[in-house]
Amino acid sequence: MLQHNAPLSFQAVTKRYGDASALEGLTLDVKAGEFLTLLGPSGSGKTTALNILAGFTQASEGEVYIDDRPVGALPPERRNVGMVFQNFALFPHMSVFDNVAFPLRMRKATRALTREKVGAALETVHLSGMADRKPAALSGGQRQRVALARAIVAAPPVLLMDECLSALDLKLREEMRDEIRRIHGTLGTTVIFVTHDQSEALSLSDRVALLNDGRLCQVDHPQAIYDRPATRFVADFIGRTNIIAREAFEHLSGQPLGGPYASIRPERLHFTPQPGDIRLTGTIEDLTFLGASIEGRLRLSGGQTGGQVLRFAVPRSINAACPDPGQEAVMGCAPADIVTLND
Amino acid sequence: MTLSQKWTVLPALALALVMFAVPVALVLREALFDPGWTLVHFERFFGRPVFQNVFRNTLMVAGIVATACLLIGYPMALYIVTRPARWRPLLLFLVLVPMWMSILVRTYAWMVVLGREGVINHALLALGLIEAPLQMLYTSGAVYVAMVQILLPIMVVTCYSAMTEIDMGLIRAARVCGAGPVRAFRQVFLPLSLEGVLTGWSVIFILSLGFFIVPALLGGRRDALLGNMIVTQVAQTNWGFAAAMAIVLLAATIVLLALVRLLAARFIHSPREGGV
Ligand SMILES: Nc1ncnc2c1ncn2[C@@H]1O[C@H](COP(=O)(O)OP(=O)(O)O)[C@@H](O)[C@H]1O
Ligand SMILES: [Mg+2]
Repeated sequence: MLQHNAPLSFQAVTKRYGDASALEGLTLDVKAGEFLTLLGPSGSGKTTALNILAGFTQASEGEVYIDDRPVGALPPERRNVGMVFQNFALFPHMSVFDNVAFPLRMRKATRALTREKVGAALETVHLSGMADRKPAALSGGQRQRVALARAIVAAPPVLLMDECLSALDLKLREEMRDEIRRIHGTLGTTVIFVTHDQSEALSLSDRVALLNDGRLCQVDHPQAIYDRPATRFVADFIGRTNIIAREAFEHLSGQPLGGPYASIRPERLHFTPQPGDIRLTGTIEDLTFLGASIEGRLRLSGGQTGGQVLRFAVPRSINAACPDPGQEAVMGCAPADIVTLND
Repeated sequence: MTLSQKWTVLPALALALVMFAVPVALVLREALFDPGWTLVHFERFFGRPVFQNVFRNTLMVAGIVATACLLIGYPMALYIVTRPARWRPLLLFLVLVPMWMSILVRTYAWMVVLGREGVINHALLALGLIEAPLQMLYTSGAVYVAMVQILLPIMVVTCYSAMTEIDMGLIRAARVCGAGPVRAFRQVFLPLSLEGVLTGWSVIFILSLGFFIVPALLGGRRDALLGNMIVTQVAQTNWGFAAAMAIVLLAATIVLLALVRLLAARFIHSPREGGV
């Protein structure tokens, strides 16, 4: 099943509810065949963006383009997108077969073609034996697969997924994550995947678009967004980090900082400071042994920075022992690992 | 069911026993013992065509009234459920307002509206649309109109509550799958609302079977329902025969509703069955 894929683009899309805006001037280009994740905390406007794209909500301003055509005036049924909903939204009165066949029947496919395509879609999601069951007789993971099969059966060039893994338990979620990646690889559809779970976003996506309060904060490849967060919010939201205010940082390092905050990831701190490294002196607190690594906190000592606590995570090495809690220690960090953040 | 669950249904069972089973048993005894065991009342009922005509007419009127309520009430409920959430309580309230008046008062009101000197005839005469007053009161039409008006709120509320159970996300899912609004309604919303439709229809059917004030005041001689027959027999202290008619009506109701349920079980789905 090789299918067509389409580029899509948001151009200055704003959605207001009364005085509050759920989405504020979103401009975002998604390449054909790309897997893009909209990531953000609850209430950041992810669903709103997806609903505008699917045609359930009208944008207050701006326009959405699918395949370079403006779609603002089209009802959902004419946008030719597939969608997987958070609660799956399977039709409870229809069998698995009829659920998956629904988009084909709406497109007036012949019986033979419908049977063939439903069979192929169910095979893609490994549910071939379940065609006659009702959704109520399926497990959560199986419902998820049916929802996925229904979304891809008519080969839409764009596939939308709204928090579609969050209803599953951890093990299933990881399994479905691999499944979604595999299906995207096979079909080559453009995927817009919505989640509030950063590990999902980082592991699945070609690019991640981070939203906060209806505004786009940063769009980049997962590694780039992790390594080079642009703002304090991005650094905080993606992974864990230590944020140090400018005065404290300049005092510690003796170097000027180009923005209000510096970010140092816990795993960038180490106990073997090299020449040229920034040196941080303090007391060790709270060591936690995690097998491959050791995590803990360093309470900085001395004047202006006194009291600030930095998290660190160091790989465990047999030779270089980690100081015990309560001990003084000096940790180092390479200047290249320090990221300047904007507000 | 666990043991503790069994115990918790006991009060409900006891209530059902006291409120339903005991009275029915008493009525049954009245119908079958006079004072010794006898089937004479049932023989009388099934032996006389006049009673059977009334019996058939009662079932037919109940069926027509329930169906008419459905055809009017379903679109009303659909309209309310698709309004913005803040308007719905007001609209429901307006539907329910007529139920504040007793059936007797509403029946008299219909006499005022439909009578020879009534509101409608006055208006039509004044407009010159008719020469002589229309005969509307004491007709079957009057009975139907009044019964539908009296029972309609129940249908609207039943359909409405069934519709609120339907996940509107399913309609979105249907739309994004390529269904226009009409097809999304026909293929998803309508089938999922049928359970409520059936409940509403059954409730109105049952309530209609017991009507006697409306046909007595608004209908002609031929519009009498079984309820009117029972009232007449009770008035003549013919307790045994009245009880026999009540039992026949009850039995017919149970059989009919069981048939409806049986048919429905094949085609109707609860909107809750696919719940996550
Ligand atoms: N129909 C609506 N009416 C009013 N406010 C809404 C509506 N839908 C969403 N919002 C608001 O818009 C903001 C973004 O919501 P949403 O897009 O659902 O966020 P997310 O999916 O990222 O959790 C939230 O603050 C929410 O309260
Ligand atoms: Mg959401």
